[in-house]
Amino acid sequence: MNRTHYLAAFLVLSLGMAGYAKAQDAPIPGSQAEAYWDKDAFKASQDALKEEHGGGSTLFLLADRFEYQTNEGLPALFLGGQGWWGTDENRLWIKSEIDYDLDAGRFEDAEIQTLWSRPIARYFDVQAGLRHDFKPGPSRTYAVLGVQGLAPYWFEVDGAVFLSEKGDLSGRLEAEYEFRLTQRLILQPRAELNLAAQDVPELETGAGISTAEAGLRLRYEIDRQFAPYVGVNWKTSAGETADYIRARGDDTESLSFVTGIRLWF
Amino acid sequence: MKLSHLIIAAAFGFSAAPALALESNNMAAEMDHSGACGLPMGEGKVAGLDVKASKVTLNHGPIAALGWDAMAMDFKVAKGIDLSAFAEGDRVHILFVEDTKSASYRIEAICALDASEGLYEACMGKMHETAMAITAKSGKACEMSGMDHGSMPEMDHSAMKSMDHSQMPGMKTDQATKPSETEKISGDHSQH
Amino acid sequence: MFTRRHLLRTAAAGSVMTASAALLPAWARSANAGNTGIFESRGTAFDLTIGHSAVNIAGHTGHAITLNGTLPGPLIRFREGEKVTLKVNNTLDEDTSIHWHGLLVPFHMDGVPGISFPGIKPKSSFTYEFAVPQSGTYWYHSHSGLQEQQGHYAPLIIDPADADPVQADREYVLVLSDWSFEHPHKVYARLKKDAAVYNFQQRTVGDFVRDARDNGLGPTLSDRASWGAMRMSPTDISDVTAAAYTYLINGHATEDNWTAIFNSGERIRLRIINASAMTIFNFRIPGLPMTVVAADGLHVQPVETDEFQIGVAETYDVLVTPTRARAFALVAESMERSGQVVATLAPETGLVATAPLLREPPVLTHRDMGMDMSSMDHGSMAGMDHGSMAGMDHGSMTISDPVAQTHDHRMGVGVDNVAMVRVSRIDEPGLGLESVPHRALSYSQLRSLVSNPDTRAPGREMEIHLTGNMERYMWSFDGVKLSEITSPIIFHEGERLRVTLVNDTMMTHPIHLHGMFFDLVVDNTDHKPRKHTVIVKPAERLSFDVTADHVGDWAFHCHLLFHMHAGMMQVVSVLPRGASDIADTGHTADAPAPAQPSEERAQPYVQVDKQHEGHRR
Repeated sequence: MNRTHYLAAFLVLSLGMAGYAKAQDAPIPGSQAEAYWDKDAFKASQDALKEEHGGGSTLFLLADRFEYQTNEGLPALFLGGQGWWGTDENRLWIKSEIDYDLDAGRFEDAEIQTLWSRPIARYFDVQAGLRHDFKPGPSRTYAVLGVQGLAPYWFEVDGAVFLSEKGDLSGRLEAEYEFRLTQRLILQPRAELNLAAQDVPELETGAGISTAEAGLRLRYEIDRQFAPYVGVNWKTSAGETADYIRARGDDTESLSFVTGIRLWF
Repeated sequence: MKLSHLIIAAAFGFSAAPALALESNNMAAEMDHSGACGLPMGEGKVAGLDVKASKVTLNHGPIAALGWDAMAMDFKVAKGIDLSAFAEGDRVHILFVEDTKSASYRIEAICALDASEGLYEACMGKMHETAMAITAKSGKACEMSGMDHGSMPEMDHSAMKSMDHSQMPGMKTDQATKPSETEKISGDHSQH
Repeated sequence: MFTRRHLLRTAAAGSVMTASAALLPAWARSANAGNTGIFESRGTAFDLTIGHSAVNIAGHTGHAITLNGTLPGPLIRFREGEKVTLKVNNTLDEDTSIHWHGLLVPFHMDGVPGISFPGIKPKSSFTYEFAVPQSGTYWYHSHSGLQEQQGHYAPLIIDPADADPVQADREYVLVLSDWSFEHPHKVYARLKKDAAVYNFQQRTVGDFVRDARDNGLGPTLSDRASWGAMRMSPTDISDVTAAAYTYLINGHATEDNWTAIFNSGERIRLRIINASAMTIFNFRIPGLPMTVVAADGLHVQPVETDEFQIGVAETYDVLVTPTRARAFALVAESMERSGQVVATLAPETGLVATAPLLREPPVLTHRDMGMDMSSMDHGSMAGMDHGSMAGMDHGSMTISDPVAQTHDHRMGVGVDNVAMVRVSRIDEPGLGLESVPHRALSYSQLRSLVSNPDTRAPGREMEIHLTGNMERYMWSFDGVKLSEITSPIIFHEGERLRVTLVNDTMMTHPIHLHGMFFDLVVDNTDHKPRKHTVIVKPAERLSFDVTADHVGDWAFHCHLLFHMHAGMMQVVSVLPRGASDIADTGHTADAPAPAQPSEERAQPYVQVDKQHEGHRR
């Protein structure tokens, strides 16, 4: 499977889903007011009625972490964000993580996921699509299948499996929780785990748990949509992934102080 | 009495029946106002109000239960009491509760004596309920002279609200139009 | 853009009901501005122009969609049974409409685009014409977009044909509303992305510590766990709060101090209308009891109270007789107590009534979650099996109609909760009013002044569930949003049926049925209070009996504007006698249209004279 195949499959899937979604849009049969008005004008108003009452699309953009990380002397700028557009039933969901090394003046990590998101349970969506990693090199494309939502006791969770164009399987699990200290001051612990099914030496990834991350961020919501924060973030590599890192003389773990903004529209 | 008048009075009487059975009209008069469940009560006049600070200045009469003479005093009021319902010069009845932390008394319930009958009785009823709730919370039995507490919990205050409508202002009860109004609303189509 | 010139042009549109040059209609201006009583503008022909206006609220300028240039719009007043003509001129660039809330108009005059008529196109006019067999306090508002939130609402009074049983020396209209300086589409979009965005009363770590200290760590943990397991919050009472809203009485915020004056000993009639988009108010006049004499426009046997909860779209007429010559505060506090609006009732102008403090915000309990086992009514327990509900025997009432609406709603992604224990809460006064130190009105205290016109026992029962998913901000009936429905709810002309609303959510919903008054089942009386809008409390099971004698398609929806916008709406189709049971007889888009002479096809906005069908109650 190469990139083109993935793209084609994705497009066919999305068109199919869009078609399915549109077919649901039948008018209310048996309307008694029809006889009083011009048929087309009334039909148009019926469509508008349905659209206005449960239809309708929303655009959401979130920069969950837009921060400066001290990274033990190797400062970085990090952006972790996502956004979606669509109705209750179908959403185009984009996720991105970008890590920029301020000293070296280059992007360390840059990935973007383009997903189709559908609700499968009251609080969970199933998401499928593509992920493309621009960095670290060599760039890779993956097929993605994941689940995102709100777990009991208010844990925000996001889990996905990735199948690379080279046939390598990996996975990711993220969880967040929020402690409300005051109505506007929120303490957010966060954890992320990356796993790999096989070694991928060219990406310095070993089988098993490849990386883990844990963070604690304290934000103040000046406005619900604009919240500066400070915090700490701990990153580590494990197992063979750590071996790869050590082999080139870098630290396998680092503790950062972070400061940034959380904003959404 | 016109038939319509009788029907209306009967309708009101019917809705007030449960309350009338309790003779609750006279309960206030029979109550011993020196205390409720052992908690002190008193009467006074509002000399000043500070709604924002939840404070009231009272010119109160002698309160035997606390050994107080008549005097003017500032009191904090309990959360939930709407001081904006009162004005300077109102004669009021108060339920006191000791605030052990500050070794003073605060007002736990307050009723205007010159309010309309329905408002006064409902307020006094709530005052007694408050007193009972507080004594129950502290584990004491409620002591009150002149009252049979066996029947207190059954006093249905919701029925009290709807009682005695024959005195209700604003409703003309002797209209000849009443029966025809019934007809009209129930489907006289001649209007169309 | 709206300029002062535009404003004046709108106001002087040659209309019978032209608003004065002042920004507010005469009846809504305070006593300072010359209003000492209600401004009676009678007539049978009314001109209404809908347009954009700049409005001044609490010192800030906002952008509103108004009727005749004022917020609220003009008071329309006419007499019961009289034929009235209302010409509506739409100067907006978008469709608009006017729905006459509570009026029994012919259904094609009911003003709901997509159900009654196609709507009023931009830069065009539409004339409503009807005569209604009713009197009382009502209101009118847009049913297009979110215009109702932007100022498109106004009061309407119908005087009785005969003498009014309610006699008063003076009368005022109080229009309660909520104003947002943010565009309502923005407010809705925020709710879609973060349902708790306006809730600044959430439980904090500090609350946890305090609760643990007061009630013990164990009970506090298990309480938090029970709510957390359901991913619901007990502080989630109103979706939009004072964080977004400025509450208004007659278009005046508290700072604007709308004043009504009185002479000591006068009996004053207050016609109170909740014309807000999302706010359920608790209304009281501290120190002054009120006698409720009408609810939703129809007379009730007088009942004295000190406070009542008024849901969106409900109206109450009360009488007050202030004997003290002092300023009283007219207080409308939002149900979740994040804010309030206060106006003054005083013997003279220039006084400002003392505003009360905001009270403690109410908190939902397990009872509201539908988990209150202690009050479980085992009669209703049988209803927990959704599959067998259709055949449930209700004692004297059996469901005989095989095509009756069953409530086996989809337990899909749009439904976050099904209350396990649904109880009758008709004798409760409303969230937050259970423990106030004065009387608070409950529906069970209301009795119609005259006996109900139709006292037949219902022939069948229909259960409709109020459902929703707070996190996704999806709201629906029986799990199906209006955008997804495939058929309306069918009533047959002449039948009497009982509709039972079951609130599976833990929000309070004011539910409105167009086109008819329903009899609220408070008990077996034949003086059931008749209403057009009813508040259904969390986990409540509430019934009303209705006679389907008004043929047509009628909107049925939650009157919380953003809930309706999110899908909480359905169509009740009252089919004329002789029509088939099946909804889509010959009217589906795909089926061949029945042979119809082309002359019968109506031109846009020309009414076919079917008035005789529309007037029955």
